[in-house]
Amino acid sequence: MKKISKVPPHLATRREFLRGSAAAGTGLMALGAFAPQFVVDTVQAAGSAALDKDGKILVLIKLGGGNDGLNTLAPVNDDTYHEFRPNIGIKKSEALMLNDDLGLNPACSGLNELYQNGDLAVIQDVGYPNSSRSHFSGQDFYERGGGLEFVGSGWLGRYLDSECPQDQLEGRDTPVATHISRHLPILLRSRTPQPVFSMLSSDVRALQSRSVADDAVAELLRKTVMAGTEEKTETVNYLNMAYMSALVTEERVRDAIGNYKPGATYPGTNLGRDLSAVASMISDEMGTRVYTLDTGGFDTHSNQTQRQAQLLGNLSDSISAFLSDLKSKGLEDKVIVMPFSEFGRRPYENGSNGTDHGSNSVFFVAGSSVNGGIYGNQPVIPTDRRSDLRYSETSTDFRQLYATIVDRWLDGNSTDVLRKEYTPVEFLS
Amino acid sequence: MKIQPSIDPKTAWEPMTDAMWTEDNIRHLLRRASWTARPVDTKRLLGIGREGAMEYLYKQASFPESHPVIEEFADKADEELAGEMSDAVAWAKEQPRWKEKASKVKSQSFRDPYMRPIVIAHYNMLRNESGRDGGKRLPNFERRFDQSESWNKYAHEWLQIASRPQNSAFEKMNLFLQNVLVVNRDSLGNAPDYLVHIHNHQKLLRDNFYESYRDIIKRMYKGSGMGYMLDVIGSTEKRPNENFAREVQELFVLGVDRGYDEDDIKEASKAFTGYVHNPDLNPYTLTEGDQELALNPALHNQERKKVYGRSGDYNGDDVVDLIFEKEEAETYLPYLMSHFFLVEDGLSWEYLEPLGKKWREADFNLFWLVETFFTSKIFYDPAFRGQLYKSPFQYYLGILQDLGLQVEPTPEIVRELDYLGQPFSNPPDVNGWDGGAFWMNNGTINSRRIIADRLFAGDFRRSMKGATSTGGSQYYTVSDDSIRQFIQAGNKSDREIIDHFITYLLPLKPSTAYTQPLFDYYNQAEDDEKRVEALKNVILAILQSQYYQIC
Repeated sequence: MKKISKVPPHLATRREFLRGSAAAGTGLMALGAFAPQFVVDTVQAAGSAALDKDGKILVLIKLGGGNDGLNTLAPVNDDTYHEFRPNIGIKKSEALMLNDDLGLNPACSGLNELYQNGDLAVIQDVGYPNSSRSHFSGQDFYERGGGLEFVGSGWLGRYLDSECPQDQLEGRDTPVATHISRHLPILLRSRTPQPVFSMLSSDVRALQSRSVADDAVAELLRKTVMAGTEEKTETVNYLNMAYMSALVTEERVRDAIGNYKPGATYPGTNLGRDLSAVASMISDEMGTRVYTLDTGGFDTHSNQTQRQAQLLGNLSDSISAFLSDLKSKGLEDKVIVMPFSEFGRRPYENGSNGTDHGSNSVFFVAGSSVNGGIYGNQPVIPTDRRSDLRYSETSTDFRQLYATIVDRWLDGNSTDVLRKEYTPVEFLS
Repeated sequence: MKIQPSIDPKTAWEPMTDAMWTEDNIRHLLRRASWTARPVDTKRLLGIGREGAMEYLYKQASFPESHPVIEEFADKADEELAGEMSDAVAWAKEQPRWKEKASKVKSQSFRDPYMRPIVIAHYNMLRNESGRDGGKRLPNFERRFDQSESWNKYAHEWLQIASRPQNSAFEKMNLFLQNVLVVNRDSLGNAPDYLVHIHNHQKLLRDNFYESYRDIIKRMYKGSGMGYMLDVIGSTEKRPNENFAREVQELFVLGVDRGYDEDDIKEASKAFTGYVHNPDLNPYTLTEGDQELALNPALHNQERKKVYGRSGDYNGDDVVDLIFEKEEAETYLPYLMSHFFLVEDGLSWEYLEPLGKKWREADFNLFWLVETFFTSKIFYDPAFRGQLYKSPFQYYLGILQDLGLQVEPTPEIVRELDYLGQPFSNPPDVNGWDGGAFWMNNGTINSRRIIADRLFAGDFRRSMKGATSTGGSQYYTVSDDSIRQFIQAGNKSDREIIDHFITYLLPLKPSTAYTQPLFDYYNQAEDDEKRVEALKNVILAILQSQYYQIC
């Protein structure tokens, strides 16, 4: 059986495929009625040009596990901090000092350089009232942009809903959002079908060299995708659409990643490779407005000093390389990057030289369009060692950051997305 | 849209009737409890009835008591450390902390429970000294041995074991339990001998399959796998770690936000303090029932703890008992089972509550739950056919069984399965794999197609250098001869040939729009050789198609 071309026969574009599908009587909109919501969100992909506007791009990096904010941006002059963290606290002499009181983790040299160049906004003491310390509830809260009132959709999914109406689902062959993670993140789940593309981190490594399609088999497969079963099930409908997406969009992504020549050296980690892939898709001018990535391991219950240094070093170096790469292509003004995590960690170190689940944490937004500087107030560490950082009037609600990004970067309306007005933070003008 | 079965919750868990023991229902059972429904197994189960079927599926499986990869790993350590053991014991006899242990060493082997920690401590001392005065620091102890190579061998060994039809259901059940009681490779990557700790965790789940789920939880947190995974090891009175106390409630027994609050977690975490390595055991030489962690009263929080409003001088086992007294404990594992084996959204609580009550009466016995689940009326409700996505392991192992092939003899296949999104024993976090539709995206669909293509193309032979065993390579790929023989046997029409594979391989009857292109393509082949090629392509297209991804 011979191996053949990467492009399935007769499938030049997704639009063409969908037209063929509709002609066969099992068109996309017809299928959508049967598909569960998250399924529709994932793969229904006819597309819209409405989001293009001036092409500003948001890259989000999920730091799974709950990153410890107090050892990311350390209050090095705070006696309680050192009393509570005798083994893992960061000393002033080690920290990368941003001002007299606050220093970055020594592993964050890339972020420090961005800060010194005015390309990094640091927002302190970010959280929300009565925050959850469960990984899963915490992730849900941050990704939905709120509580149970938003079950079923994410904050960026709702942004796509408001900016990408269904009557404009024509004429787009590329995704409006792409995620490189195990599955569609909640934050991209929308109420209406949106063209979102899924990739695994391993795909990025594999895309350049792998091909599967045999002419005849691919042709047979394409025909079966348009067919139905006697018994309609949600699973089959979902798979019909997932297969369409797999057979079409991937070809363009494969070419973009395969042909890319980065203008900077990325760390040889999954995150480094993933950000390099994002840079390649941005350079290819796919018109995708949102990219989300995933990196984990921040649940540092033990041996935090070494583990967090490794994790933050990777994050910092990867973001630095990414922005430097974009600069080499003249694209630096188009992109901002924001890592986020489901919660911070408790001020008091545990017996394993680690920290347990906590609440507020520090956020960063990086990019040459960002107004660099330190925002928000320094968190107050309570004197009771069993207590946690407390969300208070002086804290910054994470939704203030989302609102700022939606209104000032993505040209949307944050009140539509978050159902409430939030005071913007001045890291974007 | 939650799928609603037609059966009433009151009668849902009654045993299926004899009239329900049909080939169609048995195929459903095999596809869900096992990897696929081979005709030979369907016939066998039809003959032995549903009780015989449960015996066949779960009581004839075998897993090596002494695992070859673990043994090889220990042999390698003995060989590598042979020159250091005498020095290590001599050093230990001079150290107050190690003196007593050194006197108990019986053999110059890494398998000796006292030799192992002494060798590691001695090496760590040398390592610390090596870094002084600008000298080059010796590598970590665990880095001296290439665990990744052994890990791939271990995973490959599991694929071979799980691919044997007599082991399939048992190993799929073990996969389910591993996905609830998660100990993953990434989390244990920094622990010495992580391979052994994960093996011991999985062994514990296998050894206790016929026991109470409550007892499994009690034994599990005293294992080194879970001990490292959720920081039971290192949690002390002065510095309690909440990790295990949280997840045992949230993910193992009760479910997220079901029947506990943050204070319960904090208080329960005190009860799990002070569990330390049992000095009389070596993780390489465990036998059934051994507990790798033991309670050290000096490090255990002896205060009264208040959990669920009740106070007492609780230890870890006491808290597990309290957790199982909660009503929510009755339904959570059955819910996860229904999600894993029956329907993506899981069954609704109104169906699970009657089952949960009976499960408590059966003292939370795991096999009772499994037997009741798979022989119940609700399991065979027609609403659930074709409603589950196959996991990557089920896809790969199911194809092998459907085609009568063996796991290819090189651990490379372990890396291939990573691309499908299910690296061996390494779910992304303590929550396990999301599974379901999350298995299927652009990248994983492509990778599934590659795996199937490989079984027909046979091009893996170029990497046979790494083969762990040799044998008739015709069993690793579909040969032209076998296809030719199928076409020539009997007097089958082209339509019958195509229908045979569709009926055999797919759980749902596809429409004519699906079958007709396959038939047309095969029907156009001009001669016998082209028919062989065409039929291979048709079978491959079915295996790569969306309908083969469900069961």
